[in-house]
Amino acid sequence: MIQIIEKQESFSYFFKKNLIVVKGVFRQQWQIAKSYLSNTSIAFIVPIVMTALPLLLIRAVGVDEQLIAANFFGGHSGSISGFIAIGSNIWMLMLAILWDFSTYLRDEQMTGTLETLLMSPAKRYSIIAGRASFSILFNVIISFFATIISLLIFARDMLFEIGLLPLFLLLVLTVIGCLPMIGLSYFIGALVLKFKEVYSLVNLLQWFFGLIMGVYVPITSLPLIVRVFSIMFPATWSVSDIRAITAGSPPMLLLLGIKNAGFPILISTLIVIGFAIFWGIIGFVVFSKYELKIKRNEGLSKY
Amino acid sequence: MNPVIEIENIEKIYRKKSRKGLFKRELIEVRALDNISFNVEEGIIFSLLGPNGAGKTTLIKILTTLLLPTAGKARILGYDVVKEGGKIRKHINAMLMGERSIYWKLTGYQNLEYFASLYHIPRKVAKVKIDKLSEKLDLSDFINRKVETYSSGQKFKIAFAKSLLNDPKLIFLDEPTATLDPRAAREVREIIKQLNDEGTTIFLTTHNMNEADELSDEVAILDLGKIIEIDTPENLKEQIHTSESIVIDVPFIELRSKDKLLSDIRSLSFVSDIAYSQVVNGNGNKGEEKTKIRITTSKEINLSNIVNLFEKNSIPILSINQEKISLEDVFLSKTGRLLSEDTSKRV
Repeated sequence: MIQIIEKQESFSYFFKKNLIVVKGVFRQQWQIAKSYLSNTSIAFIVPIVMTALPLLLIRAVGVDEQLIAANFFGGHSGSISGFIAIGSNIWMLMLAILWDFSTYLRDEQMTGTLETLLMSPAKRYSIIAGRASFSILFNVIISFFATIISLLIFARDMLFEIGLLPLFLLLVLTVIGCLPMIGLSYFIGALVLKFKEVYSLVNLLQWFFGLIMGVYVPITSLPLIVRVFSIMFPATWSVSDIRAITAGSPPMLLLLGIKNAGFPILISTLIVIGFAIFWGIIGFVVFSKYELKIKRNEGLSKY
Repeated sequence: MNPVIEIENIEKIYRKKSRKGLFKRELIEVRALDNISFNVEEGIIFSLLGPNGAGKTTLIKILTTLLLPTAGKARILGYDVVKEGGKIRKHINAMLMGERSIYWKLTGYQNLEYFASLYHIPRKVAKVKIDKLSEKLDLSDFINRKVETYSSGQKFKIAFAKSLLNDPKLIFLDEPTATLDPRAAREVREIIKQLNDEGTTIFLTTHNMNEADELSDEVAILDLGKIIEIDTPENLKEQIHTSESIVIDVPFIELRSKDKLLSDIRSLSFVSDIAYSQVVNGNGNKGEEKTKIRITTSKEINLSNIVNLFEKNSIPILSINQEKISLEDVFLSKTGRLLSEDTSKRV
């Protein structure tokens, strides 16, 4: 019988070889993205349109924006245009990640490359890390510029009043906000691998997510049952805190009635990181479980 | 002898729920592999020969860790396919879905560079490897073009190059020439031989008997999920005690006439085996179908006796050829059917 003697791997070797996979997947994603430039331009335009629709309605109705702001922010002053622009952009960003990850495995399955991918010795987590790092970087850059353009068009005063620090924090909180979405979307993607109906499920979820994260209205105005889902959805925390930093609306903890939280944004950020760990583990476990189940039965190429 | 593949009583049962009415569901079981056991020695070309639906792809997927067996054990390079899949994947490679296993939006080079990274090959080393493969497989004319612009043969070559990136000790090829034109298929067979000469063990599945005959050191015949026979192509052919068979093409025959004709032919004293298949040409229109009848003879034949039987049954002969005994005849003598028959519905 053949006997292969495997070398003991040091940590640095282990790290280096996984980094090769992460960089390889990142590069491949960039090369594919370059083939679909129209997708990128759509990602710029859609959030601007989604911001324009409610704002134009407000302006057409002729209601004083300060009055709406007071109503939205529970007496605090803030920019209603900024509130909606940031809500739309973060929502679109979360959707981009949702689509990227929940359709990832299914798309690979349908093109026929999933088996080739899973037959390689690359660890699943390094493939996901490569894919996630590209998805976050690419979508956050687009979303950041789309937010700036939206603010320039609809909330110019607010944009010029924001300091560099809040702008930097906006970027940081956006990146952190993407992390739980990756785990959550990977979890959905794993379900899709089993139940196949990817596009209808994600389509349904994107509108549901838009409702529960309070894209156009504060979550305090949502019915109680919907508010429960809002609190459990990580993007609600991210969008509320980014709005608090930039548009002057109350942070998430205050919306929940917790008034003396100390560092509300920091606490919320830690909660978002907690969500990221939770959904990351759930996504990975569910995928591994379904992968095993599928391998036991029909195999990964059946779609 | 060093077996690189050890298979012990492998079984694979596919279970599928089928809807019966609005609420009822019925569990359907399909036995794709039935108690299979054999070894493959290091350094040989091993062919798994069988018709469509015989279970070839199922077995290859179990051996490449993409599917788990329902029962039994298999070891690749000494590692268990169920428990040590990660270790196996480092040392093997495979080409299972041909041109569908690569990304069409990328160039051939980008594909190879990406897959090299999945095998932990640093970018600089990958470049050297890709250049060498490009030279070996003659990829230079198209490697920097997007795959979507390639011909089938070119896509195949990139998929094949991909499966050589990690210098595998063992390579699995599932129907490697199925979609290729005869010239490209010949080229691929040459590459497979060359690769084997360099020391790589090759496990290939095919339903092309000439390919199996030409390439293989050892052949296993798989039918309806069972191994019928394993031996060298020469020994397998020697089991048929004659050197020739007769292949007759006739227009499409209706069932009743066919049964009568086959029974008449079978009654001839020199006929040992007979099988037929309906061959669809062109776009698959019924008018373009023809029936191929293969007769294996056991002693000196009298061709006019056979021709007379066709005349008697009013069936015109389109062509008649005497062929040397091939693995097709071995398959026919063991199963009573031709390799071209699709058995996926029988399993």
